[in-house]
Amino acid sequence: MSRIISIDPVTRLEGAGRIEIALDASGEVSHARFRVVDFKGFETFCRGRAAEEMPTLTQKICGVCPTAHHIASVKALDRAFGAVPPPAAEAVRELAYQGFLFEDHLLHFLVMGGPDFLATEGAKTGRNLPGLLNGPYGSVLRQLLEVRARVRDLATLTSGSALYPVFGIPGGVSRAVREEDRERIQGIAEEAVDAAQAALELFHERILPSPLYSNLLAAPHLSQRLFSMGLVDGEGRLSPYDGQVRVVSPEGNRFAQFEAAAFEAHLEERVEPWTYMKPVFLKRVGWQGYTDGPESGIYRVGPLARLNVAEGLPTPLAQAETERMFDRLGGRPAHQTMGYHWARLIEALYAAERMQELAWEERLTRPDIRNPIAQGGGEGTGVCEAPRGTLFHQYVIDQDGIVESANLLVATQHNGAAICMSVEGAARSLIRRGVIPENVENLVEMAFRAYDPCLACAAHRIEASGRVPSRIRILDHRGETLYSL
Amino acid sequence: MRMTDFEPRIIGFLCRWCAYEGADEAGRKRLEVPPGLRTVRVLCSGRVDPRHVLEAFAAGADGVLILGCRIGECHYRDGNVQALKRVVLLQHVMDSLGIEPERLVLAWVAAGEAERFADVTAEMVQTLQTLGPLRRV
Amino acid sequence: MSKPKLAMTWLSGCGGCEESILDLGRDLTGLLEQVCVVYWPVALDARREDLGRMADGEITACLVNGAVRTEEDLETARLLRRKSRVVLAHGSCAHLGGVYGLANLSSVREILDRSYPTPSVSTERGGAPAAGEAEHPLPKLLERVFSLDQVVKVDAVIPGCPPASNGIRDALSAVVGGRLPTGGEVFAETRALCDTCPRRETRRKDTRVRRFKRFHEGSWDPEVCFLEQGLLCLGPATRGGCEARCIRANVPCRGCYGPVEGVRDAGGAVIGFVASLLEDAAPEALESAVASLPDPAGLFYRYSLPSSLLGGRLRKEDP
Repeated sequence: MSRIISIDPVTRLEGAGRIEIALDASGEVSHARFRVVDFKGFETFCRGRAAEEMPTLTQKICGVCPTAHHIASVKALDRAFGAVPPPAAEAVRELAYQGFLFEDHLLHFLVMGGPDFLATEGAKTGRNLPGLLNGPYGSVLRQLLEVRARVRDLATLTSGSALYPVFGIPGGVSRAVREEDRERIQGIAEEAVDAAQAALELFHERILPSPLYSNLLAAPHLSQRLFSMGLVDGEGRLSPYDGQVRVVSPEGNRFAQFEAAAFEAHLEERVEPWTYMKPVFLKRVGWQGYTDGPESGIYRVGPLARLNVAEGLPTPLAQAETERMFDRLGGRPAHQTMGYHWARLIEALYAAERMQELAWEERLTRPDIRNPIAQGGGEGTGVCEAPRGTLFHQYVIDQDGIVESANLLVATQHNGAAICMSVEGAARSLIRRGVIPENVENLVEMAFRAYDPCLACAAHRIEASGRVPSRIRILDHRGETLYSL
Repeated sequence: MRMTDFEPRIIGFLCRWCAYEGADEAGRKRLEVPPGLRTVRVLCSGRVDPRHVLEAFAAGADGVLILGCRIGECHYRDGNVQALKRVVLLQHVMDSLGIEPERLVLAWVAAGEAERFADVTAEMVQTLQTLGPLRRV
Repeated sequence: MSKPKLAMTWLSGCGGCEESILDLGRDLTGLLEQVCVVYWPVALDARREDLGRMADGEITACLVNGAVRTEEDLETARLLRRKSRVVLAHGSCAHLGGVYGLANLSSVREILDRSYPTPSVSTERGGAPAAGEAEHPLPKLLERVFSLDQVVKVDAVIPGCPPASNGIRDALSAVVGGRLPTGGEVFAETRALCDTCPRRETRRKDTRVRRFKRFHEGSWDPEVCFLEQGLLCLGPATRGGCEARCIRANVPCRGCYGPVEGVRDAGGAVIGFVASLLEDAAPEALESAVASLPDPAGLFYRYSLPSSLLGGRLRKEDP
């Protein structure tokens, strides 16, 4: 017996993808796939471009995380040109970055992932931000929206625009932050800390204790015991703006740590015939299929993975909340996929605290924001943690400052395999003997929504097709599609 | 290799103060003028906007010719100088757009110089016959 | 009187235009109360089949962002056109083809050849891959990227990459106020950015450039016109309305609002004004000046190649 369910498009994420769930002869889920069929072709059309255009060009991969691309890109240029930005430039860049990390995480909570857990109705009409604004949490959500807007607005003092950051120049930034703006920045940073705490309060009050969330949190099928990857500083602490790449095993042992420029030696892409977001795995462990455990080279990135990898957080409020989280999740590393939502809010708090620290640093408003370049071209790798995971930009620039090649490894790609596994896990737990419950669409979507996937990013280089309106189909054991909703 | 039986389509922008008269004169003297040439009379070679050139190629021209007065003889002082700057920059851009720079020719003629007009146009035909027709996506 | 029905969706886009809607902030929440949002995949769970079930013309206004890259985009654009009274091209990709239009500098064959190695068959847990795999080839790439108005009739444009809030606010106010935009209205300035640029007082009428400087060749004055300083700014050939956000961040304009009113080919307009800036027409000087522009096609047509007169790179070989 088999039936088909189709969800078209998959919603409340950035981008378009398709989920297919295959049933075997007895109606059990045999496997599920998250197919990304997006296309842009960036690595092709970056060739031949003037290097200085790359930070504003590559950010067009994704309008949700343009700042992450902009930062990784300008860092790659710093290295290719042999330029070392002065302290003021680093401070301005990081301030823009942390502001972005804060507001992007909040965006996901407000618009994408949060509504699943905040909605009181089950029907799709209330399970979205516009609907929630009229509900019992309307006022706190409005407050969060406003603070998010003010943090985004702050970009006019740093990166230029949250929608279109432009300040990255090899060796520095385009302009200095003025001393007379410092107070405004400090004020908004403080609001951001309050807002992050309010979001966490809402999480603790309404989401964590809810049956929906706590059941999904505990669901064995939604726990993937995988390696974790993220950036850390010299003391092994969370350091998403810059640092070395660290990988931790499912049991929590340090597996690898390397400079970003060496990423190709550690990570390999896997080509699959059915998806164009090529999943990535750890070379030294190897590919064992869509399975977890210490023998499988699949790893995760993003908020939960970053907290798994870090030996602590450098900011006190977020550190305290992290301890609280791992306490509840049974220790570090934690593998409950729904934990991503919690970790995301903790990172928003970290980002807000970092904004506050930077806002009080003397170097922030120094006038010297550019250093000269040392050479006309070369190779360079830039890294930062996009909200969804580790982002690598690697360029080869010729001596005339023209891009010869660009190699981008983008956050959601790293999570490709894990997303498939979580989706499959969700499907398995819901579909038995061919019986497909009514709310399967939403529950399966929630499995990937926890990752905050950004499919425009994941598909930056996929050289074949374009967007497909997302749908979930269920195939019977003969591979035939039975129906679509 | 030259495709001698290919009759290239050429749009010629001719300045009325010199080249247009030269074309007229060439006609009167029964000099050979390429049958694929379509002429557009302009007040000055400097009147030709880069977009006129691009539009000509987009519309199916295999080559574009701009004929103006010699430097120093422009009726409007330096219209031809403007044309020169534009053409050089245009050729630079055309290259990246898959159009061989030789398909755009800027040449100077004096008023009523019929032989020169015939020579320039014949030479352009030869160049285009070697390059072949310009195909589009 | 019932509220206007609004749809906001994407083709091949990046999500930036979705963000630009959210950036309306308080105006957004006010606006949401005055419309009925019937289709908005980034925020709502309405499905494509809901769209299909609507009557033709049922949607009052539909904002579409993203470029037309695939057959799927083409189908979606046509579906949205049928179901909507007015269609607004939202953002550079829908307006002009956008940054993804740079793919038109390569042929589809070149793109495909440079891309995927032959996929290996994966070993799957749980048995053989579903036989239906082969039925679902990737949606086909169109032979090049198109702007929205090259495939369906577009009633109005909100330019920018992404658009600044003012243009979106004006467009949505018009919809809410019952003044449905038609006839290709553009929600921005009609004239060039220079007109409203904060540095316009510092630009001389007789500005000339010997050669253009690259960004990494040194710093520049944050108050003075970029062209005066030998840095190429596309402001003179770009429509204003963005409130000069890049200029204020001390970087020159890159043309994301597209050409000024009445101009079809943005890159051609740039060639025109850049040529007029060049100081010296002597052969070596001219060559040197032109050589200081490392990637003119990629820069001048950065946002607008699909909608340009040529549309992309021409090829002698057949596709």
